[in-house]
Amino acid sequence: MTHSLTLARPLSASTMIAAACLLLVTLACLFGLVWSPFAPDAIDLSQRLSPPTARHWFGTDELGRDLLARIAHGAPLTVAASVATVSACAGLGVFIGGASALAPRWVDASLMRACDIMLSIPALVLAMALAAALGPGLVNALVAVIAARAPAYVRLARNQTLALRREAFVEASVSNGASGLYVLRHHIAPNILPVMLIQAVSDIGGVILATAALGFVGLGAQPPSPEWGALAASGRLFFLDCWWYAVFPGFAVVLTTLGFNLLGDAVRDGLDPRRAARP
Amino acid sequence: MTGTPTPPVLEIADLHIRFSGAQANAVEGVSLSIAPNEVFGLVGESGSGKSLTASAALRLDPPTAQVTAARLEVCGLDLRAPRAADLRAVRGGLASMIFQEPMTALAPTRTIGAQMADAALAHGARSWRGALQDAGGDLANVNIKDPERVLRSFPHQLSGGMRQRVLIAMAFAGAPRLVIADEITTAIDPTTRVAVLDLLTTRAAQTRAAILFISHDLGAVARFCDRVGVMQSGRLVEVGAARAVMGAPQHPYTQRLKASLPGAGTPRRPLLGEDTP
Amino acid sequence: MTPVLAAQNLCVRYGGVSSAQAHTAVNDVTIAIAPGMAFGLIGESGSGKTSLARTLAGLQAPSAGRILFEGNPLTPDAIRASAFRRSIQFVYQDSASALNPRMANWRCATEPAHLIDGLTGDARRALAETLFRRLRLPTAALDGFPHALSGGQRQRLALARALSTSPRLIILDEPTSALDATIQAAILDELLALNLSGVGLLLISHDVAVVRHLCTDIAVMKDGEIVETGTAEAVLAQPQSVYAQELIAAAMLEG
Repeated sequence: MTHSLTLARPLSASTMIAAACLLLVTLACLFGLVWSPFAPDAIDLSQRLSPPTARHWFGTDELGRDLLARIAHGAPLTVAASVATVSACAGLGVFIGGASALAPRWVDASLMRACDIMLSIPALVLAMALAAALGPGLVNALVAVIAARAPAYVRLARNQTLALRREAFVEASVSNGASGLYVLRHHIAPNILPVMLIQAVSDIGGVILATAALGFVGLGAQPPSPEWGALAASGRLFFLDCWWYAVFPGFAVVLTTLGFNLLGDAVRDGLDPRRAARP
Repeated sequence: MTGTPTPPVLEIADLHIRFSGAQANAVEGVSLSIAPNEVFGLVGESGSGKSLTASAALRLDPPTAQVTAARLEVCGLDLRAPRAADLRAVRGGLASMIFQEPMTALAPTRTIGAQMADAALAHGARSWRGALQDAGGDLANVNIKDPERVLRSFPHQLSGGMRQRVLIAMAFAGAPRLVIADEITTAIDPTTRVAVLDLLTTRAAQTRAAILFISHDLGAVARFCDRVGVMQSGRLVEVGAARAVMGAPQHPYTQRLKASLPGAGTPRRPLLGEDTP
Repeated sequence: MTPVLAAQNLCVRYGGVSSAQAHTAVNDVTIAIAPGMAFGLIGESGSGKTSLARTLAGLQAPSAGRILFEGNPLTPDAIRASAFRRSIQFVYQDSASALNPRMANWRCATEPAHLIDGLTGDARRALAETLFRRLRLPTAALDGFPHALSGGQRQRLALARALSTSPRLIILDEPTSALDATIQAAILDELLALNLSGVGLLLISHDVAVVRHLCTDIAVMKDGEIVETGTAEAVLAQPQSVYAQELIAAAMLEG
């Protein structure tokens, strides 16, 4: 038996790949933000639609703007939007799901049927319908994505809460006079928050993809915003002649999505106390 | 083989088992020998390596385990680097095993009769009908009063004690020389336990089979076994006649194990010394 | 002396909309547990002993009959009163699920005292240290989590939690049946020491040897009914019912 638990354990292959993906994207973005001499909106018509060169590593767009700089400036926007989205989903999930599990049966039943209806529609289709109704724009797109994804979190939080309520340690606590709030705070929350965190981290990739997809079909962020979906959408118009324009933003989406998905697995492995060896 | 008139049914010498990646051996230099028609008890607590030793005897050790031994023989067949034919001979006829949890040892979706006939066909029975008839006889041999009904039953329709009887019948169906019983009374109620153990030893005496009886239940071992071996942390710390070992244990661990039995000591006196952590 | 806990004609029935589906787990049981007794409840699986214990602990409601706590009927209000909660504590069979995997050991050990007596801060920590020493748990494990403990240590932690309110009676549901022989012996020694220091025990077990070793009084349960009850000596030496005779004979393998 080894004494140090997590450090002595070799990192799994998927954790390494996740780290590599996210590191690559981070480095590229740092380079684009810090060292690149180009501003994301600096128009240079003499350099329009230039293929990747020593000057413009990722090529340029139809106005001669440096694509690396645009992707790099789009990264904080894209990642921050996704993190905000999954945080909102997780918060709504714990609040509505936890309350549903502890509420009278008819409240629980109606909430769950509402979730079932939402979940029966493919999330992207629902998000597109909502985004179309709300009108194009990044904030509206995020609201649509939250509405489409939150039901899954509500369900998860509710099921976790129901399972925990049956555990002997909760029964013991209640029989010793613990209030509902005490049980929620000391027994339910510490045990479901890690689960929600795992779900949220694993979902970041999916949200980036969904936001980019909405941007791609014109319902999300609007040009000249360097949001990745919008970038890829503009690049699509030139795809046959200028492959780099759509490929590099798409590549950024793929790498980041993959990275966050695998990171979710790593977080799950790391947070489970039952997986840790005994000292 | 030497010229002894009755070679042992199981001969293990200097057995070591190590799991890949582990720092210590799970089984460390175990040697034991079981004579025909002998009931040998192997006792120890969880993690002592008793079940692992027994599974190595039929080469049912897990794939991550490395098994080395000076001798590892069932009825004279060397199983250290076994040939497929020898393994078949041992597992299919010379030896059989009864597991701890009778519910998981039986397939849940097939009747007892079908499972017993299948086993018989795999071991050389010629017709399904004949195999089914033999199965009925085998069940009658383990004191099951209405074998016909049990043959048509599914495992979940039988009680725990009844399932364990069925497994005993199956274990003796191929006329084995050695039967390994791994904690077979853990999952059944106390009043059924004695009947199941009586049945096991009676069937062994009738068929002149030897038994390797693995248990943490010292009382059962003392009553039903001829000889007993005590394992602790992978080592065989004490071997001898059951009455002698259980009556006057020599090794400190066996003494401690015996002292732990709540039934043996004076009621309402501490079992272990005050100093025990 | 007024019994700490007594059951009068207690019945527990489960489920079933129709009477055909309903199942009687405990049928017309009357017992009394005097202060300081070590009362053993023996029976095989499905005999109703766990249902009886849970009902006596106030964890589930009886279908009929009544429970007396210190001579007074145990109404739902009385179950919620801190006098009952402080006096009667319950220890579960499976210590792994009875302890919150994300609550530090010292908080686990003092949760009842915190909830019932409002113990907080340094006083709570000091109680945890006292309990750890009393049950010979390593004080280094105070800030650890239950899953890093061995099975025997977890059961000691569960005992510490039950002891944190200085109860008059601890109800234990098969507290050692998942443990190895030497670890079971150590826990039994611990329970004996508790009982000798005046804490009452209600021990649920299928193991006659364990009950014989520890208990002053015994009740034998079968199919939801008490078939035999009396002092340990009387029941074990001269069991009157056929079932108790069988059960005790089966346990005398060691003899």
